Amino acid sequence: MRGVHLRRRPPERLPDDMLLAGLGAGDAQLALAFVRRFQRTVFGVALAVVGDSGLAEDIAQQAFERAWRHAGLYDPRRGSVQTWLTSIVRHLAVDAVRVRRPAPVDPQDLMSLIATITDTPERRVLAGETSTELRTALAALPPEQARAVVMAAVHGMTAVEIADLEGIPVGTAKSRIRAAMAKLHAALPTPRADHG
Amino acid sequence: MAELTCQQCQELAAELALDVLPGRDRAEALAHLDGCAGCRETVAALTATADRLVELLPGAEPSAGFEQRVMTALAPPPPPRARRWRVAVAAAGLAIVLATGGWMLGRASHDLPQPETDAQADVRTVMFAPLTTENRQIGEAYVYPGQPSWVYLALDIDNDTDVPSSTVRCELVRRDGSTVPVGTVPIAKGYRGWGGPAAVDRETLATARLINSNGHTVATAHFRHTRRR
Repeated sequence: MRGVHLRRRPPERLPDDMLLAGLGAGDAQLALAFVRRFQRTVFGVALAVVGDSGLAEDIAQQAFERAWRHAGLYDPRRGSVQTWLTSIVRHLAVDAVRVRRPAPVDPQDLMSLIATITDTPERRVLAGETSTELRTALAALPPEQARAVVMAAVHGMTAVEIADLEGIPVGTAKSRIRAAMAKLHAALPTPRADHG
Repeated sequence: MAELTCQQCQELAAELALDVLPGRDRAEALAHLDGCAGCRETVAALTATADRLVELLPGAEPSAGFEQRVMTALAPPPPPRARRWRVAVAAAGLAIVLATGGWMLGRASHDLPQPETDAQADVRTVMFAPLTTENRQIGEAYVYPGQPSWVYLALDIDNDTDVPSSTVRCELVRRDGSTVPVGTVPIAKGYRGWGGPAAVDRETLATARLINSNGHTVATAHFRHTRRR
């Protein structure tokens, strides 16, 4: 270790897991950097699910508080910090929506959201974003399957709720969700789990 | 409750991964997963896909005061002294809650008893200390004494410095001098983080240290203890 010395990095350049550790440790500087890095993502997920900016901010704040309290439970083997955080905020938002139901999902809003998610501008492709494969796969789904999987994944709607909204049998809604997820999963480069 | 076959569980796997499987179906699927590694793997893979789907949602800018609101919420006033005696009692309860959570806490957080008490928050607070060698800081050591407990090292070695890549052992030292091995840490130029699980007791932890192949301690982090009242 002789000759080694610390080169202080600004918090903005620290990796996500380091910022999360700092958040959990109560380091105000790292906590602020963590909030700044993820607030657009966290608020974006909350807003997409609940559709109300005031409620979405409350949920986003709860998500950061939960990340702070449970930073020690983050396991990098299970996924990225962003995945962990979006999972937290998605569940908080879906819980909030379930309390308010029945609140119908506007079909126009749903189509607009799907169009946004499946947008793959050239800059993204050129940048080699890993999400491009998933966006492309979602865009390639039959519209009814795309609607079903987005209603479930984003709005937390059950097959029964999707069936009611779409005017289809519950079994059909389940089939659409299952087929869509199988196609999306197959499109990702991760190894498939073959079991049956 | 009837036990599901693998085929029946596979048919429910997508909804389970999306966390939209209600009531009895969910209970039956979870019961099957408890004893079926293959179906667990399928659901885990689909869960990863569901998580990535949510990550596609577009970001959005919150209002101007949002950042300050969050930072205020993340810095609550310290708990009154009179309540600190509950720390030891709460620790046992917290350990049980956290032991059943892990990563899944984020997915199933709505099922957990909430909110966490001040005393619980005190117990789970991450400990950290500068990691130094020859009075020079080379990074920071973070120790989380909860369940599961872990150690995280942030090392920052200047690119201009001639330091050969090597590996060192990381171990924790208790106040009584006994040690807890943590793992082997690769040392290289630049910034890198390294972490691993380790049995940690907040009350007895004294030091984290890095030991080279010759058995010499090359860096240490001394943890200060805040005396409980």
